[in-house]
Amino acid sequence: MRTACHPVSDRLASLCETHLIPHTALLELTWRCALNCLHCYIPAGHRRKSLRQASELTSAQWCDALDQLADLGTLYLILSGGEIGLRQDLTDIVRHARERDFDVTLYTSGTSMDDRTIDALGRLEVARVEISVYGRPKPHDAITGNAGSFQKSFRTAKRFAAAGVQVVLKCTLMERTFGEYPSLIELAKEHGFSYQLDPILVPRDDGDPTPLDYRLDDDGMSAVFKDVSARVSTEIRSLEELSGASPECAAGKTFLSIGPDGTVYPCIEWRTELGNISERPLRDIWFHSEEAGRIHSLRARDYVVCRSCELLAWCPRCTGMAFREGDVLGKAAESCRLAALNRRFHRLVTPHAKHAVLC
Amino acid sequence: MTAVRYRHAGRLAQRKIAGTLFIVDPRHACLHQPHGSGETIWEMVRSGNTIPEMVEALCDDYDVEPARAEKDIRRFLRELRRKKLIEEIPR
Ligand code: SF4
Repeated sequence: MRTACHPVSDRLASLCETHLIPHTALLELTWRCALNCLHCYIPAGHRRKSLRQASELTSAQWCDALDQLADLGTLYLILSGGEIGLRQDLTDIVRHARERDFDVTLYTSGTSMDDRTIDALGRLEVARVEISVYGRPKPHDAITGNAGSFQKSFRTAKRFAAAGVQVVLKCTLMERTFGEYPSLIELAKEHGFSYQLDPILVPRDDGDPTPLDYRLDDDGMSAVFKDVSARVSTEIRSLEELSGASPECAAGKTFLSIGPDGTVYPCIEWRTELGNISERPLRDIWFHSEEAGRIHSLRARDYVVCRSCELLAWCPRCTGMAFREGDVLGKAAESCRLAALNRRFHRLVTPHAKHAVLC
Repeated sequence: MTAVRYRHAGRLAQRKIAGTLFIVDPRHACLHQPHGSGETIWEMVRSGNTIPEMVEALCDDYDVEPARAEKDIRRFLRELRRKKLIEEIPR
């Protein structure tokens, strides 16, 4: 029996690339959320909708989607929001996912889940929960716009850990969290949690660029790169390993996303609509829709600017970011910035499901 | 005496992708990939088969002697137990 200690082994990745199998799917169960995070990519209008207004898939429809994903070959499942804790049927959906043998990761703010739900999710043996925490209580609450949210999130993190679930604290790097991330790292270490620092901010889904106002400038980002490099041993890839890097992206090829109403996207950043699973079977959308076919046929040579870029080996190029900047095949300004920093500090920011992560 | 039966550890995820079985152990962020008869044994564990039943199936499928099949099965089950991928079902 062969064993590889990396979440997606080369063998799995190459089989999925050859056969166009989405090994990972991110399901946005809802866009509703009680928080009001400054940098959120979901427009406030979507977050504030009532359940009745939100036209979300029902439990039965999500379970059917899970069956279709399993049949397609999807192994890794990420359940995200909005705030997934607002779905009363979250446990039922996760139970079905585990019965269909998915590896389940939850993304949550941790502010809307009661103890009973958390304990049930622990018993269902979800693989991990990633909880957004932006630093110490006051600054955190200022970012979420919700007094007391830190305490709720952190309590949820501890409850998940007690239920046997691996906890990852996630912090988006912004001007506002620049002074906070060291305490977050200490907090994670103290409680045996993992942590991720996410340097990517994107415009909201409706094009509103407000989140970009909160970006950490180059000096701040450089300080984090230097500091975090010193704190943790993470992937610092050798030049040999980096050679042959490609501007191609997993989105729409070995990764897909499904929105709350059943719309299928290449990923949550790249909001090109491939079809809707309430109208058409997922397999049909994935293999026969015009848009999916166009994405499947993309090759490195199609990325004319990036394929010959001297920064390519250091670039966490995100096609979703390029999409939001107007040209999926073009360069993405934020990727370019991170690539330059990567080269400067000789460390690789690894693209990871939704966002790049630093550890 | 009742024969021993095993089951897959509850935390695992698994999928057959393009004909290849992948097993994820989230506790160690490891991906396991059993081959050939290993995959057959893995499936028979899921079905609750005993070792004698596995021996019979392997002899049919792979044209091997029962003694050899039993040795291979026991060795593979030991490996799975060592990696905590299976557990004995309490009788
Ligand atoms: S640095 Fe910019 S231009 Fe170069 S590969 Fe990355 S996104 Fe493309």
